[in-house]
Amino acid sequence: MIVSWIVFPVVLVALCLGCGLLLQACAGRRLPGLLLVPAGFAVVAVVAGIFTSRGETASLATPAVVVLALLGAALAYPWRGRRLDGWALAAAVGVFAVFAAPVVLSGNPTFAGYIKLDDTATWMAFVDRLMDHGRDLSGLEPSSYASTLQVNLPSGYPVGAFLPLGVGAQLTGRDVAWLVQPYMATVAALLALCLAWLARPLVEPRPLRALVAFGAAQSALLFGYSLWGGIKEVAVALAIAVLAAVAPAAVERDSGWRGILPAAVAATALLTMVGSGGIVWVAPILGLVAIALWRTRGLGTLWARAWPLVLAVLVLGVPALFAAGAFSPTQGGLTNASELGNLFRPLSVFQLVGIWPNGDFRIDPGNMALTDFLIALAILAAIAGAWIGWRRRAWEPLLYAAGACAGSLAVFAYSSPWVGAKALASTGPAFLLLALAGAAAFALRIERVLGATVLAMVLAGVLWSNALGYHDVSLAPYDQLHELENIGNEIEGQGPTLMTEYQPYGVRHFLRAGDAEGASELRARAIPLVEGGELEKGEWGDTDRIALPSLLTYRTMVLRRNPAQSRPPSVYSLLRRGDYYDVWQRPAGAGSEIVERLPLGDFEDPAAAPGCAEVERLASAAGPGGTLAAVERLPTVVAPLSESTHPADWVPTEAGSPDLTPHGPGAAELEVNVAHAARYGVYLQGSVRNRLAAFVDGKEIGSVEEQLNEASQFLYFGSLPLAPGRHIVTLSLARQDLSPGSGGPPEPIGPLVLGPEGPREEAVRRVPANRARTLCGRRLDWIEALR
Amino acid sequence: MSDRGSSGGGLGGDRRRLAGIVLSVAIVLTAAILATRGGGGSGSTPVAAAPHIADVAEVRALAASLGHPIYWAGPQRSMRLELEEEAEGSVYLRYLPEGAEAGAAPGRFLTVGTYPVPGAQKALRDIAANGGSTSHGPGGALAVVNPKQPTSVYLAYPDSDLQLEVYDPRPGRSLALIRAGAIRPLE
Repeated sequence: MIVSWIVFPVVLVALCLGCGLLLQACAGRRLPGLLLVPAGFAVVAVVAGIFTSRGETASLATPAVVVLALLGAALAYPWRGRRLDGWALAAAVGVFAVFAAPVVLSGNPTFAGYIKLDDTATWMAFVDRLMDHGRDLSGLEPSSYASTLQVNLPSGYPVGAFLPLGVGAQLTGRDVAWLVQPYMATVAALLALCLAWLARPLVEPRPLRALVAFGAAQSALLFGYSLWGGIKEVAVALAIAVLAAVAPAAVERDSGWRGILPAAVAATALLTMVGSGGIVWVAPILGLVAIALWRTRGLGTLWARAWPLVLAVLVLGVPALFAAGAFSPTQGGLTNASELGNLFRPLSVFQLVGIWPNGDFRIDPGNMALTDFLIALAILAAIAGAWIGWRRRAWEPLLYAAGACAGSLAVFAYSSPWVGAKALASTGPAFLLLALAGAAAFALRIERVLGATVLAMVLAGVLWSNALGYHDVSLAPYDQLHELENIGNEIEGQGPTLMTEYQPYGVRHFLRAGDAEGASELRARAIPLVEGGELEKGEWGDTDRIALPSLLTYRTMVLRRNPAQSRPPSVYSLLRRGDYYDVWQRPAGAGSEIVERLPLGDFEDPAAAPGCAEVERLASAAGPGGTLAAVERLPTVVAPLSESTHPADWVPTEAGSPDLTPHGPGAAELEVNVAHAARYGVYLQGSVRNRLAAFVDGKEIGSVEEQLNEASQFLYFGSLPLAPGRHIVTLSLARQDLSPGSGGPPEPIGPLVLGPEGPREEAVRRVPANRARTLCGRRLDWIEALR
Repeated sequence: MSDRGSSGGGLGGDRRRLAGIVLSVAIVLTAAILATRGGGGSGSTPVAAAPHIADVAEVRALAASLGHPIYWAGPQRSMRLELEEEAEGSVYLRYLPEGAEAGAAPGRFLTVGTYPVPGAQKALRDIAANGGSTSHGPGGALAVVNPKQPTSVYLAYPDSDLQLEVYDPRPGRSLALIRAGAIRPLE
């Protein structure tokens, strides 16, 4: 937690400060204090973009950034004290706290957006690869990690937004997964600094200006994107603000050709983050500055400053932009009107305003009338801000709002709903800044009470929206993924590895060193099922369902603990048992002695009794000197939760289904009959947000909290010995509280499964083929004919 | 425009201040009333009837007055129907569990929308041609689903001017309901 949320942000800010000082030295003029760190962020993105554009130089990116930061600090020596704007710093810290709260208050350094959007897994893969190899994918073994990179990097996918994260991850030595949220919180804090500078001409009092920046930097849509891995959206929001903040300096009389460097760096950073499509923001912002320059200094000065800027952008940006061929902003589904991505429907254009009180920004707020009212107030405040700004010649906030919003609205109108929503998210702070600064300026100059009331109402709308986002956040299960991180370190070089659970963070990131492949996504090889076909995306499949030759391809298997999971083939042995995963491995290079295999069991119980005819057929396949291998297993006990006594607002997903969706707290009680004495694990299929405790015969076995699962996966409460007979299982769900994610949508739970645990379930029994009949009628996981 | 310092005093200043206070009170009161009364409907569409709990008879009566059927997923145990009607004739039926309030968190529950769209199946084909995944339901119905987000599935029958949307927060269930023939006119 300390490395993620204190060391990493401090390191990143220090690097950005040093690079900002270097930019200031290169520009030959002082950058405003509030812009030093945000402008330095753009430098880090650009420099890392240049170095990672080629595989040979990628590993030099982090050292280069460090050297440049130190050089910037040295050139600024002696460090004359600048007067710090404490209020603006307070706003930045406040914004950092807001963006940090959904994760920090969970007590784990995890990340958000789990289950909702798995793009974060791809961003992690990007960072892993780019910082050491750039876009060079040579030498990668077939794996889901390789596949996800292959889909994106060669096509020139813009990666500038991820590079400062990669630099910080390398310097802190922390897995990038635990830095995703701190990175976005830090970038949002830098955005607040930038906004405090941009609001200056409209709102002179520093405390009020800080309040405006504090509100604008947490525009609800941007905050919502930060809760599902919106690294690009947050970084682009900062890059646009930096560009709008530094570009007007080019108009100043004493600004020589070097004076355009900050604008050139900011424009390049933006382009490396979104590709050539970033021109929709660069063009209006620099275009408006060019018009101002032409009007005030004439065409000659405009030309004298324009060509160095274009040249600088080309020199700085071309290596990263064209590293893998130009990424067309119109390619793929980016302009397809039906490309919704993970949206339910196209967003409302009014979400640009930054007020949307719903825990999920894809859904209309419950109180739409109040939302509309608050949005209308914000629009009126923005109009007032534009009017006051125009009259007072407060060009910076107007340039920022006009340039950013014009670009976004163009994207919204002409691109897919998926891309349009991202554009709205990145420019929400621009509109909200104008609205909040407009209300503040109105209060300062025209009517105090009315302006203050509107300011308070708009701010309240933003905070209300974000409080709901906090309450409904979907947090990744830290303990589970941390276990995968450890497994990934242990199986390095011991691939290929198979995961049968849909777990994008495992196969695209944590297990990459084991060349992991998901059975239901981004397969590098065909993974046929015994019954034909392959698993659908997101589906879980028991190893018994996978055709044997395909299964044996994998030296290592990382299998989610699941009562319906079969033991892998006899050639595999258990390497590691964790709280969430079992790791099985076969000897390297071992040939298979399995000539035929009979999988048994079904979706609920991995074992069944084979008929004697089947056993004898396998015995003849093994031959006279052959052997049959089999695993004996006790039956699982499956109890549909829908047959329990439960609260009225716990409802089945459909008539007859074995699950319940709990729409409130309460307890379900059900009776189970155990036929065999054994130690049983207590499993419940589904996901849970608030604490769910399991009791057997009145004794608490364990509890689970904030554990979101992909399809067909189970919550595990612990194990206990059970005697044959009737037992009462009680599941008690706590009510929502103020912890992050507590208010998210309830997920179905059920059925309850008691799965036998113990050495018997893993032990392989070997029987000479001539004694095969001893296996007849026994409950077996599978039988293999060995020769 | 004049600065506050130069216009804050005198009779004009008092009037402005008074107007500001009156407007502020009006804003706060309006927000308070809206917050208390809840609200509903879509942000861009005028609402004819805010979401409320309805029985089957009320939905039947509404269908008769609109002149077109309203589709639903049939009766479901322990579920109440929430009816929402928009001015242009779109109707939403949501299945609320006991304890859930009308108008609250519409995205969390199974919802069947019935929208008047001339040539609905052709309109869906046009959408499908741009990348939607198509499927066929009972009775020659065309279903279009976004393969990445199968929570909403759009459906239209041949020669019908009604487009249906089946939404369920659990991915895949909307299409399963359609394939099972569960989406049908409320008769």
